[in-house]
Amino acid sequence: MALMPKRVKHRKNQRGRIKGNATRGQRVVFGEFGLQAVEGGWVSAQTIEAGRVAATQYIRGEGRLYVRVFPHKSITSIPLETRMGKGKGEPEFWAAVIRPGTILYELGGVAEAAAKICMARLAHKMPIRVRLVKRQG
Amino acid sequence: MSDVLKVESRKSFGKRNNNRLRRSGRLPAILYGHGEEPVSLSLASDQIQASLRHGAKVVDLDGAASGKALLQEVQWDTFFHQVLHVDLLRVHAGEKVTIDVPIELRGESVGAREGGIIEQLIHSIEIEVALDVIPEKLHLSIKNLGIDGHLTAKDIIDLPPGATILSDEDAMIVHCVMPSAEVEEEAAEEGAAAEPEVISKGKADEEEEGEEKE
Repeated sequence: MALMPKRVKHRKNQRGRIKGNATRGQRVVFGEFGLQAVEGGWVSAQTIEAGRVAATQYIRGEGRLYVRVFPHKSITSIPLETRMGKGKGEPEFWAAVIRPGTILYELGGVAEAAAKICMARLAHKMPIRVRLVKRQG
Repeated sequence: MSDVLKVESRKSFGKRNNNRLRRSGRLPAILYGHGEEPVSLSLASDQIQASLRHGAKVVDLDGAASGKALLQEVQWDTFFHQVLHVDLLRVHAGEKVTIDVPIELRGESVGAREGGIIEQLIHSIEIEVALDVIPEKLHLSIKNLGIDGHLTAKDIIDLPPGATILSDEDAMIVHCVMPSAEVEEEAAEEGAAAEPEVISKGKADEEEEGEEKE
């Protein structure tokens, strides 16, 4: 089941703009390796889940995976073949707003070679460019 | 022998001036400590990057300020490419300083060979240590760590002489646990809610009413 907030103040959000780099959530904190976004964008709850499944299947209980992002934003859309107007569309899916530099996933308790392969599999699922980073200091 | 940093005093402050300074290849820095007035400085960006690459913790200052200084805090940009600002703390030779030192695990544990996962919960600890024996890393041997076993700060093997641990000594640094992947899968399947609850009930009701009228 894809991630989703339990309670929200409003069902629909405005689109917003992604400005600047991440100023929080940009360091590897829990594990030894991280997958860092190099560009900004929306990552849907389904994509986050797909990445989690791909990584968990590869590590098979050898290490621990940390998901560092959460889809707080609802994305709406207007159904096909509908005339314009009549208000905003209905929520279709939930997405996490990613600024460049945000750590998406972290991996701990695995060797570097395994972490590289695991993160490469994970990166294939992502709609944005990402890179592998190591814990600093 | 610590690295020598040539510093100049800095008269211009603020975001715009500091960005201009960074573009010219220098960095804003501040020197404080020992009850003296803090001094705003600037230093060459490539010099500090080289010192950091060599793992320097203490530097000798030359120019607008002199004496030894501890690299108290180094601010990096989002991608860890460039240093943005450096905090320097005045220190004397032989003085004890409080510093955060990373912990590195050594060896292959018994528990990991039996199928357990080694999880490091704390990655650095705060210690009070003399200036001339500041370690780059502290090591923890996990060779004898079995499943459900754990190690604390007391088990660190190479604490420098005269150093004292300021962090909680009984806090678990690393432990070995059995994998719990199956439990996670089950938990993920549960709780399939179609839409989240809206907090502002009154407004949601109004919206619904409005839709009905249409």
